[in-house]
Amino acid sequence: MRISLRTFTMSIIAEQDVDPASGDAVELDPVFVHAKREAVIVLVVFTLFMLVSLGVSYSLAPPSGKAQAAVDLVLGMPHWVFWGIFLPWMFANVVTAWFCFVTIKRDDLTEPDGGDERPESLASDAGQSSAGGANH
Amino acid sequence: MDSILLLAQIPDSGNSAIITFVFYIGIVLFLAWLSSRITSEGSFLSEYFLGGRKLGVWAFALTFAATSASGGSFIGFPSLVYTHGWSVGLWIASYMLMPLVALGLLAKRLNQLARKTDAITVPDLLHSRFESPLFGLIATVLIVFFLTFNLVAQFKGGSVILQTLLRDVPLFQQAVEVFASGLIASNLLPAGVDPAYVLCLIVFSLAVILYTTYGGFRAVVWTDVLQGVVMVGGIILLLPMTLGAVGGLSSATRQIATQIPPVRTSVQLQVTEPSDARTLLKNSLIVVDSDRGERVFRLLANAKVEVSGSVVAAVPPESSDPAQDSSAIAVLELFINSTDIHHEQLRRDVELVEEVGPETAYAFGAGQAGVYATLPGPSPSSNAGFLPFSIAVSFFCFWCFASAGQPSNMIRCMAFENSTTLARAIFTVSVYFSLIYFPIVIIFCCARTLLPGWEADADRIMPEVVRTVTGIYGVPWLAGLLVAAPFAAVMSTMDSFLLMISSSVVRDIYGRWINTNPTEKRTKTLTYLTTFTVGVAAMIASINPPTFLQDIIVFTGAGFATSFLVPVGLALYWRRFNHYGAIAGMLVGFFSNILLYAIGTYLNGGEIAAYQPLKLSPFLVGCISSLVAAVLVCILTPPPSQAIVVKFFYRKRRLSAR
Repeated sequence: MRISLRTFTMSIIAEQDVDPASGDAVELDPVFVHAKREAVIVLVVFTLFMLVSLGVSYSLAPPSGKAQAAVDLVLGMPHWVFWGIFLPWMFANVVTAWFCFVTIKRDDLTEPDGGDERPESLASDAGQSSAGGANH
Repeated sequence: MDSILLLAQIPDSGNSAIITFVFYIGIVLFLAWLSSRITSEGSFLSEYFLGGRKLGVWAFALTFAATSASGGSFIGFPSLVYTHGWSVGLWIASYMLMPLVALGLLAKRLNQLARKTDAITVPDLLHSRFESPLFGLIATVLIVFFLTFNLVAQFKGGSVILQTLLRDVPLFQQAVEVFASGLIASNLLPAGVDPAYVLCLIVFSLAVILYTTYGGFRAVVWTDVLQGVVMVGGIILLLPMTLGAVGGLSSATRQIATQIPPVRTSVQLQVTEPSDARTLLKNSLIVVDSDRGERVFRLLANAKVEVSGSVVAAVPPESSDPAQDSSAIAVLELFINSTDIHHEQLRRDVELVEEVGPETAYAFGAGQAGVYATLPGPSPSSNAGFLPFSIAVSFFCFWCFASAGQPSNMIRCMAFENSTTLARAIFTVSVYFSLIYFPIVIIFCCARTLLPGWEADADRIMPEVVRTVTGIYGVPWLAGLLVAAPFAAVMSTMDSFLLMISSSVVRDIYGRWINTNPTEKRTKTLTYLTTFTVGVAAMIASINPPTFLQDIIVFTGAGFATSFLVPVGLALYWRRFNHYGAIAGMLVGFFSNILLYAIGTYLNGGEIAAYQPLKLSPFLVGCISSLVAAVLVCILTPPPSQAIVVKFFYRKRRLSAR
């Protein structure tokens, strides 16, 4: 199967093609595939947090005129700040940790012909602290 | 940036300030020298502009964080929190995800493709991806255009901070006298320019120019690490000290929930008791008894006491309004009890003769207790409050995606060592920002009860809080160190921008258009010369810089993001994306930002402002316009060559079973 316009214009991802110039069999670069998947996860996480943070804050914050009587504190901050900003912020760090240490692929970025989940990153991990356990 | 001019004098910390500064510059120069000793097998350009693409976790994380945080993070942002209260917590809330979005979205692919194409700059990479010299040139011109504006603003900011740090030091005052007489004698001092500012500009700029020129990217990164540590260290020290000073966060929030926005007015005052004190300094607090009970005012300008006891403005107002004569003193009326003021001196020897007015109340929140503890927060100028929902959505998107679209951040994404470094750095920056931004919200909400009524001079609140809490705890020497945080923030942004302009000139203009195959020696000479020349040119431009510099920084940040985010994002992830779409996306993003600012500035009577259609920020409008233009033009024009698609999105098939 040759690379055709369909590949570009339609959402069909050809997993295996032929380079028309060299005639070599080619496949999608795994770094591209992984990075795209990770970008989608980032966008989904961002959207969820935006909905939660803004939604909770605006629904819990008392109307301006009644704020003095309605001030309700959690850990010293207004309760809408705690539930809408502080707690999501702490949880965002947990999600970021999950993304960094579980989800993101340890691709080899130095390979001139496209990377792979290869032992480079494992070796690199082993040489450093164990804080970032690679996911393969 | 004019606001920086108002950074506090720190009366108790004059010597510690100069010691801090000299010590700090010494370490920075030492780091630059040390970094230049590191040699690498890579090419000079890759080494000088990207540090050999070998940044480890801490270097990558802290250089990203320090470059992202400019002087605004430590001057403008605290001022905003102080002025609008807890609502600013939501304004900045998307920093909880900023590292994840800014790095997780593009960094891995940017790094991989920069290595694959041997790209050193963003235009370099775009040139290779689209095989279009024209597109590379457009990207270069936009980078140099925005960065030049921004660099001048940063140079001025750093110099003004240094000036305020040193203004009370006798040695500095003597140096200014000698310097000023020399300038005046040689007729080199432009009219209206403060010689103390020029001296600070020269000292500060030369320090940055020298270490950036000498050490290149590696020196910038190493000094960024130091500056990043200074910033977070300052906040971590300041947080518990401030909380202790106000009796805990609960106590402060309860008090904030009773506060009412101040009102600006003009009054005639008379001193009731003879005193040797013939002047009342700007920001003095005055308590008067009136038929409405006790009233508290803060002076908005210096005043003097005449022999008759009348208080008059030290500098007569320029207004032609007869009511605004020199006996009418501009004040801010604070709706608090004098017993709420614990850390400032009160003048009680003054009586209110007459209230001249007119009163200027907040457009939103006037007379409402509790407005500082809820949404949308009080606003002096907007009827919708500080943070209506549409603005909150805009800012939630802005911080994350605008950071992803900054070429200065993209450059750093090209320089980390491997994907493990990237993963750990994202988490590190996430924790780092959590330790800076939310604590700043807490500190400066507390500042509303610690030092009430600084709304008219809110840009001074950071150093005022530092001076007050270090005074309370009896550690004035610490003030110099804490005030080094904004200084570090400005420095770490300046050096990065300086290097980016230099790399654009050497690599994208000279290397692409003038001499495509220069020798290593020539490249080296040109690089040093360019970095030094660009720095000196920016320094000269900063001697008499334009006003509204803080607005210029915001404008350039949005301009970068609207011009680069969509074209770069699609270039990395959409195989069909071609150079026609990229050029259209970049130019539409650029011009939509320019257009919205032009309309806003026109409607605002010449002061820089952005027009916000449907209450959406220029950043959102620009990015959406850029995306639509890029996709439409791309679909209507031929796809990129198959060779390009294979090079950037495919690899040779591995025959071995996986």
